[in-house]
Amino acid sequence: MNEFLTEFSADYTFLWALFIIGTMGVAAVTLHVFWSIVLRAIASLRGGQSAQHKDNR
Amino acid sequence: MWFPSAEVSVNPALLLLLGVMVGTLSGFFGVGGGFLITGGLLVFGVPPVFAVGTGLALIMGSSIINTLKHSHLGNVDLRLGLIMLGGTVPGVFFAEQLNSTLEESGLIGPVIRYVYIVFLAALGGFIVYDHLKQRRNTAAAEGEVSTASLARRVQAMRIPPHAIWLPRLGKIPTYVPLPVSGVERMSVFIPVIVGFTVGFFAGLLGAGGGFLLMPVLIFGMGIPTTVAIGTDLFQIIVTGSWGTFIYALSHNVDPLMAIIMLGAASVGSQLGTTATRFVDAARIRILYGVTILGGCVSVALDQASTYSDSVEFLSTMASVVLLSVAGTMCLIIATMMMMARRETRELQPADD
Repeated sequence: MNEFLTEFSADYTFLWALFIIGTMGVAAVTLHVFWSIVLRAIASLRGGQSAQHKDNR
Repeated sequence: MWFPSAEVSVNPALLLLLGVMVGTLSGFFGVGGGFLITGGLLVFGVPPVFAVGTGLALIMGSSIINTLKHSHLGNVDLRLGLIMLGGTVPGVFFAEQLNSTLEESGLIGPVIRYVYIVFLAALGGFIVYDHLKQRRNTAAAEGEVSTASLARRVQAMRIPPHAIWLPRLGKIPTYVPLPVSGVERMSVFIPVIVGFTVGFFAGLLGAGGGFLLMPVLIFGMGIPTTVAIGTDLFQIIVTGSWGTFIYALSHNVDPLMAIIMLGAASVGSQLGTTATRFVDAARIRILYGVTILGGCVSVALDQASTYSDSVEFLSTMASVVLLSVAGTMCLIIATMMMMARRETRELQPADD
């Protein structure tokens, strides 16, 4: 796998750069969705009245 | 753990710790945290160019998570962010041209460090001054900044042309309402000029620019603190993505290291963004000012370490100062959030 990635990054520089941006973007969105589900599940398990949105402006 | 791209071995626990700190501070202050990531990775023995490249990749990912979270809280002014991008992109481009000129003349290193120190000292000093001044000023509304009248004047500025003609669309006014920021009407040229200036200095300093934009939005344009944080993060997605792309083209990003830190940063992000709901805006600003001053001391120590071989240890000390300040801030944020939540819970039955 490492060898493939090393060769790929050397041969296709532009695609490699896009791949890194794409990977980070997809990972970020996935992590956001994951934590949203986890936090929502915790809130509903706790009887889930989440703290009221305090106007912090 | 061995990282093949950067060709370095780093303890993953340290990367996770750094990731959590970056996520927390980024979500709470609305900055990318580039200065913290680069400093931390350098201490862990990552080669400088990989520290910057991998740091940018983390900034990009962490900003996406924080922007999504802040948008759920109603803290992202998408319209303002998009208009500002019209200035940020050319600003970064001009800065890169100037950087190339400075690089040819061999001035780039010292110039960048001195500009950085001046900016951080001025910003941090001003934010602390503003906090102290507002505490003494009993006539000021709660959470209002000392530059509120200046911000109102900026919002009311009329800059010609007041309308532009576009093919097919006809005559379009150059004033827009920004309801998310609570601004009735503002000339589009103001956010464009702000975006250009911040993009220029961000490109010059090699940073995401979040540490500059956040105070400019609050003190110069009168944007509410939480909206400034969310909108700033939206801007950082663009500057961070561009930086990551440039560094990835020259193979200076370690994706494995970035992903490990991003996983940890996502945990910190939940803490940092949620804390903005509970912690008072004035407290967010003063903590930001102290963090900026910590960053200033760190960069100054780093610059001092270059004067002589006998003071090289100051470079390590600079990173230690930075990580200590960041770690302390994370603990303070967590404590303040827990205290504020407890107060909210105690008040709730009385409200009912």
